Amino acid sequence: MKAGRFPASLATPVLLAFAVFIVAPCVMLLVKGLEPTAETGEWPDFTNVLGVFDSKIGQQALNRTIRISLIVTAVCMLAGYPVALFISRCGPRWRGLLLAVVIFPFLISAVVRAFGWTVLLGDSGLANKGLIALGLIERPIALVQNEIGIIVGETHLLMPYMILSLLAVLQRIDPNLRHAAESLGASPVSVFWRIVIPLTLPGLLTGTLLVFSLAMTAFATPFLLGGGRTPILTTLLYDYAFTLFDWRLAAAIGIVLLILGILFVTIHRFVSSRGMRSYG
Amino acid sequence: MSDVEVSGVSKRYDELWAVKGVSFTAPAGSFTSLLGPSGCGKTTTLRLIAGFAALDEGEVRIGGKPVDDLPPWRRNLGVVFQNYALFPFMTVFDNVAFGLRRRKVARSETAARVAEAIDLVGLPDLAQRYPRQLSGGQQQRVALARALVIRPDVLLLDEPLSNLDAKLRAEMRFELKRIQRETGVTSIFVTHDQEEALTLSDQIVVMNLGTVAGAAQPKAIWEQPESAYVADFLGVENLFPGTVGDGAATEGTLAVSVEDGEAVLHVATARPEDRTVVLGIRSEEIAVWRAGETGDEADGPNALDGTVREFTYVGSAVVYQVDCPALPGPLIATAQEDFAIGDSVRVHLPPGAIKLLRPDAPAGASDARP
Amino acid sequence: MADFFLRSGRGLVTVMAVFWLVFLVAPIVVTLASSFTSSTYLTFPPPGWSVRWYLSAFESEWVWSTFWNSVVIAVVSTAIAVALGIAAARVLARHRFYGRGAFEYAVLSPLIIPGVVVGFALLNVSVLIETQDAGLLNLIIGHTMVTTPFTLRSVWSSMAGNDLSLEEAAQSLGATRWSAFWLIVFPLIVPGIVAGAIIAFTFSFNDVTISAFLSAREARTLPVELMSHIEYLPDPTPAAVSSLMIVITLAFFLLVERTVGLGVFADR
Repeated sequence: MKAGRFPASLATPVLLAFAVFIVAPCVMLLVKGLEPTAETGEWPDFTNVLGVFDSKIGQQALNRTIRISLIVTAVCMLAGYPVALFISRCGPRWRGLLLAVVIFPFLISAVVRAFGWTVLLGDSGLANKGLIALGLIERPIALVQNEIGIIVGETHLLMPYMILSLLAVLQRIDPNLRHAAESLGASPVSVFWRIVIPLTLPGLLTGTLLVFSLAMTAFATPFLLGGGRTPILTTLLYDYAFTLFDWRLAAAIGIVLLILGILFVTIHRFVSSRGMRSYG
Repeated sequence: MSDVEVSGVSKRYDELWAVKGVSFTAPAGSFTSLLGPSGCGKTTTLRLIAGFAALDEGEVRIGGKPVDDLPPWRRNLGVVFQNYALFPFMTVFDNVAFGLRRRKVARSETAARVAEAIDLVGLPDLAQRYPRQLSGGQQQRVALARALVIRPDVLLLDEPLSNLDAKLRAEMRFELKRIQRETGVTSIFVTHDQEEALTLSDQIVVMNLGTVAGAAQPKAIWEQPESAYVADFLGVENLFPGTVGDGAATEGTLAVSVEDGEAVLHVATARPEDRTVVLGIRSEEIAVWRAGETGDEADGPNALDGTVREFTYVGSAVVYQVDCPALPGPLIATAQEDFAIGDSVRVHLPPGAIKLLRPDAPAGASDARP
Repeated sequence: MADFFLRSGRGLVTVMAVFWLVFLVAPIVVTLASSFTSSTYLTFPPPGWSVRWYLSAFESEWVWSTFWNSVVIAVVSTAIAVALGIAAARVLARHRFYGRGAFEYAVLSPLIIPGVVVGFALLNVSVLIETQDAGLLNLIIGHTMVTTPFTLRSVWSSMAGNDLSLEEAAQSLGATRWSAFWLIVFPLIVPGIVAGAIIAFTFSFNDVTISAFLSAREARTLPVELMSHIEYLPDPTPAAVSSLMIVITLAFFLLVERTVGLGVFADR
């Protein structure tokens, strides 16, 4: 590894591109979001950013965002674990196929998935028909264009992240650890709770952080499945930008989302570096 | 303390037999080594005894009782793994206590037995440390303590010393011997290192291609290996196929002609059942002289002319590769004197040092290793 | 008793896993199936089968024009993202310098910054400098920035495998620095480049978030146009278009799987 000199010829074009098209726009966003509301105000003015949490609609959107993200994260955790466990126990041929089943949906366009869910969850969709057939409901209930639609869509969007995070740790488990526990008298049930679960905790933690942070900042899926009356932070930003044309408030929400994004990555880095150390 | 009877055990992975018809008995309280190169089936055999894999044929009995229907967690065996397999998120104490807790041993007794086990393996006061904070040798000792604390019927060790550096390995060898003697636990030890097997064992089972190639006490197996393969694995450098001639060569010796060579060597041994044999001799048993310096032995029947082809200095001696026209291949001989490449020499193979071995490898004894 | 728990535990895991795996493919299967419906409204399962909505899709002007927009944007932004990704990967894999951590942070930042923020921030700038009507250009810029981290990571991980000694060996045999790169390093990172390019293309082609902010009246991408058609659900034509997008994505997915394996998605 060469030390010292800055590789100018290679790095400059890259840095320039990111400075102009990522850093500068974000700085402009900060400038916009912190613009003074009143004529006489001075920059920076935090009224807008704080207003996101103060206004009724902003507060509702924030609460809804957090609530949905928590539910989605919990479902992904409970659903992702058995899937990851199942895949890790399969033979190589099946494992490849099931891994494809997990990965492929997350390449599909959000519009296409939303379309599929709209068909499935609509009034005459399979979900309603099934619930009626089971006798749980009498008439079709609304499963899309509301929070349920967002939760289903985001769960579908984010579960692969959880499964892949868990698989990464599950497949690294030394089979000898299981054998050692068995030889010491632990039954498979006991091996699962006392050996497998503790060994997968780091993966569960990174997966949880990843899913939660992506749920907090997801846009396309909630936009398409949530309908107009259930805004979350990201869709509220879009509404401010394109329906209400209040770009100052849109930028203020942008700042909040930006801070959230950086916050989660920082926590994630901290946790994963610690995780590596404790099981290294 | 129980004996282990392995009879006719086979294990197949797809179409390949990893282990085929392996039988041996490890007497109660003994130390038995399974010795062989990688892929010979020794680890598979150990896993079958432990119950980590199900056998396809045969039977394993521990203390006279068949265990094949018992899962590993009901066999009461201690296992020490090559990579130690310590639970990384548990302290040393919790690792060692794991088996006792599964057995619902009372808390106070657990603490006492863990302390006793840690003391037995000679660990300093590290009970609250995590495995990653320990050195390789210390992890090794924790793994031993964890396996022994449950008072297993049998202790199974899968190449436990191979991840240690040379100095530590020698030290742990003595430790293993001491611990085994103090506990008297029946031990089965898998290794590819002939020296480890020789120094530790009461019995060595040499394995080849999934079968038992020979089983005997270390001294017996060193002095009279059963077959060319066993001899090769135990470091007999010179192996030549040959045919035993009729009648005695001299008083008490047989005349054996070397295949693909002109030499007819006298061997002081009993007549083997089969005429087709492999002649084996260790390099340090061969005497080497400079050509022209003659003595009693240099003119004897087992003296051959040769030329030094190559040499390597090993510290205590020099190992020579000598081309002998009368032999089909070069001879490996150890000597104290210095010879140069191309020097004409005379070598002597004492009739008493040559072993007549059963040829068991179809591709020629010297290529027996897979 | 323990065996009973063991077996029922395994069974429970299997049942749950199968349910959620079906959940993951359900919307895709349903979209594909409903695109072949014979009726004029969407219902599942369809009352009968036909390909009429595919014919309708192929005859629709909006499908073709936005499809070509999407292809142009995806091809151009992927090409730039690959170039930037190779350069950045080379910097990160071979050089140690003051500020290397900041450099890494900068080029991976589009993964940290939420897509809405990137989209809105770029829109904000384009309005300020009055280029908001240059939709195609804005979209290409946006997609390039967001996909560069993918090409970077893919190329970077393929560089991590081959160590410096290979290049040094080539140089000791008389290769110049450049020819050592082209003759030794480049062939080894081709799989990483291919995988990164395919991922970038797929991402760009399917993106909604960035495109929703940067699409101008004259320059819309297929997913954004599809979005407005789905909202009204006039007939199953969007189902046919969605199915075609699934097939295109599947083709690229299989290409990655066959060439470099699914590991590129799994190791993050």
